[in-house]
Amino acid sequence: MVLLKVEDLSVSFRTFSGLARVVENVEFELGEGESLSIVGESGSGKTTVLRAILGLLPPNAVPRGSILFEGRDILTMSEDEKTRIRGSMITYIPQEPLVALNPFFTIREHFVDRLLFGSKPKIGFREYLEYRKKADEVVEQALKYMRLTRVPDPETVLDYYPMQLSGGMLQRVLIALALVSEPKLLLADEPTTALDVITQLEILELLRKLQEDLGLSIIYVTHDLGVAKAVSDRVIVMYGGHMVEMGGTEDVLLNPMHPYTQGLVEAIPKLVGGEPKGIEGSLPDYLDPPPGCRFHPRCPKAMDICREKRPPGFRVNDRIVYCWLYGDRHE
Amino acid sequence: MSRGVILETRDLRKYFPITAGIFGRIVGWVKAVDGVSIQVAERRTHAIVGESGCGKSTLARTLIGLYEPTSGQIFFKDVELTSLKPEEKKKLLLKMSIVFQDPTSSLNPRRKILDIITSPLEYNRIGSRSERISKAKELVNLVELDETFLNRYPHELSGGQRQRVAIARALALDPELIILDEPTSALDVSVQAKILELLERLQRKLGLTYILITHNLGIVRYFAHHVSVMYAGKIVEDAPVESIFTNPLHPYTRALIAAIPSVTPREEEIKRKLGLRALPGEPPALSHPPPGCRFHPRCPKAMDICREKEPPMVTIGESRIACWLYERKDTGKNT
Repeated sequence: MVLLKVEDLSVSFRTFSGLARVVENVEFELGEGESLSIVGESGSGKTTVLRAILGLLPPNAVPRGSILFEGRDILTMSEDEKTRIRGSMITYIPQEPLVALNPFFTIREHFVDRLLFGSKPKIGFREYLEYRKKADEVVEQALKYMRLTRVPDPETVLDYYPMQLSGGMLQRVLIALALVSEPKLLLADEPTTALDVITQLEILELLRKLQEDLGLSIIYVTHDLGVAKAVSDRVIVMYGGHMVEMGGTEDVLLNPMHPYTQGLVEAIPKLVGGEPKGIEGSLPDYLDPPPGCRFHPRCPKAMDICREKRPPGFRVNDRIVYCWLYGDRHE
Repeated sequence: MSRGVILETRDLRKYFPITAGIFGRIVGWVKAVDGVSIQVAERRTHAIVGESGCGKSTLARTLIGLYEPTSGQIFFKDVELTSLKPEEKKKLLLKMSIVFQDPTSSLNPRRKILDIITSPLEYNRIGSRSERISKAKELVNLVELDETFLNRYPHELSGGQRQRVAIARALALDPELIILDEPTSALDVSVQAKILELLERLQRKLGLTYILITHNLGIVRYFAHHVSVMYAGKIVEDAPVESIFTNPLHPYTRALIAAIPSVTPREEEIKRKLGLRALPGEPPALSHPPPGCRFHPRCPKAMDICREKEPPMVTIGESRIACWLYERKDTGKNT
C-alpha cells in the first residue's frame, strides 16, 4: 500500500537577490515497509525534500505540488494538523546527535516529553500537571524501545545527560526516541555522518533490522552511496534540485545510467584501488539555473537538446532516468 | 636513521593532565599518544588511520610542534627536534605545514585570499609586499585557481576552492612535509576526488612528503603508500598500503576494513575472501585504558595474555603488528 506519494513537488525560496528555484518536479511513491534513499551532494535539495515532508520548511519557502501522506496533503494542512502528525505518525532522526538533544535534560525527560507532550499542539498548565503524573507509566515504553535499539543498561542510561553518552549511544537513544511513538514513516537525515565507520555499520544494521521487524517505512537522506546500499531498497539520485535517476539501489550502483550518477560512483575511492575521478565544475546557481537539464554544463555527454529542454523521466526497465540519452528508446 | 626517511618518532608520548579542584591538582592523564614509533619516507604519503579519539590528530599536532611532547623523540631530517634551541627548532618547523579539515573555519572570513595565502610569509617577515604578492600569484596557479581569486573573500568560494586556498597557504613557505588532517572529509565526493588529484600532482611536482590523517580507508587505498593504524593512542599495525588491504593482520585493522560501506560487488568479494567481520563496541576512554592490549575487550581472538601484558611490536615481512597472536608464532619458530 502506498503510504507517501510526492507529486510534482517544487520548492522555491524567496531571497533578497530573487527567487531561488531549488527543488523542481520531484515525484515518487513510498510503500508501507519500504525504504528509500535520497542521495546527492550538499546543496542538491535532498534535505529540502525531507523538510517539505516533515512540514518544516522555513517561512520564505514557496512549495508547490502535493505530498500525500495516507491520502492527505501535508502542504495544505494547518499547523495544528501538521503538529499532530509530526512526532507521532512521521518521526525524524537528526544528523548531529549531540545537537539534537537538550543538554539540560536527562534522557528520561526527553522520553517523557516526546510521549506525553509530543504531537499535541496546545497544552494548558492544568493539563500539563495532569500529564506529569503519568510520567512513570510511560517510562516502561521508553525502556522497551531502548532495549529494541540495543542501548546497553537502559535503566541507568535513562538518568544520564546527553553529554555522558558516546556518539553511537546517543544515536541509539535518538532512534529509540523516534520509534517510541510507533510511527509509520521515519525520516533519517544523514543518520550516521557524525559517527565512526565501525559504529556507523552497527547503526545501519540496526536500522535495517528495525525496518524489517516493525514494518517501518524509512526515507534516508545521505551523500554516501555506500550507506544507501546498506540500508535501502530503492534510491533517488538528486542533482541541482532535480531528480536524475530512480531505481533499485543495487541496480543503480552496479549499472548507473545517468552521467551524473556514473560520475558519482566513479568519484568514490574504493577498497579495490583504482583512481577515483572527480566531476568538473560545481553546482548550478539556483537564482539563475541553467536552462534544460541542470547537469548539462558539467556533463561529458551533453547534446544540443540538453541545453534547451528539460529531460522528462524515461522509463528503462525498472529504472526512471531523467536524461535525453535514453529518450530515443521511448519515442 | 635509514635512508630516505624524512621524519621519525621514537616512543613518542603526549599526555594531557586531568585536573581537579581550584588548585588544578592533577588527578590523572589522558594518554592521547602513548609510545608511538613511526618512520615517514621522503616523497611518500604516510597515512595514519583510526577512529575519532584514537589520538591521530594529537600525534600530527605533536609532530609539527603545536604540542610539546611529554616524552620521546622526533627526528626531522636527522635532527632531533626536542633537543634544539627554540629559535633553531622554529626554523626547522617551518619546513612542515598543515592543511586542516574544515576550510570554512580554518580561513579567516574577514581577510582576502591574498592576505590569507601570504600570512605565513608576513608572520615570518619573509620578502617585501610586492614579493609576497608575486609569490601568492605563483601559489594560486599551483593549486589551479585563477589569479582573480586573490581579491575575493572565503565566503565567495565553494568548499573545494576554499580547500585549494588552504593548500596554497600550506605551500607558502616551501615546506617539505605537509600534514593533511582529514583534508577532504568536509567535501563532496566529486570535489574530493579533484582535491586528491591536485595533492598528488603537487607531491610529484614539488617532491612533497604527506602525512595523511583520515578515517576514510577508501582514500588511503588510493592515495597513501604506507599506513599506520592507531587504536587508543597506540600504533597497532604499520604496513605498506598493499598489505593493509590484501592481508590485514591485526584484528582491529580487519574490523576497520570490514566496516566500510562498500559500493561495488568486487569490494564485497574482497571482504568475504578475507573473512572480515565488523566488531561491536567502542574504543576505550584514553584516561582509563584497559590493561594489557587496549583492544582486548573488543577482540574476537583475545587470549589470557592479552588481558595482562601489552603486546610488543612484531615484524612480519614489511608489516609491524602489535598483537600477541603473531608474537606467539614468532617465538614458536625461533625455539
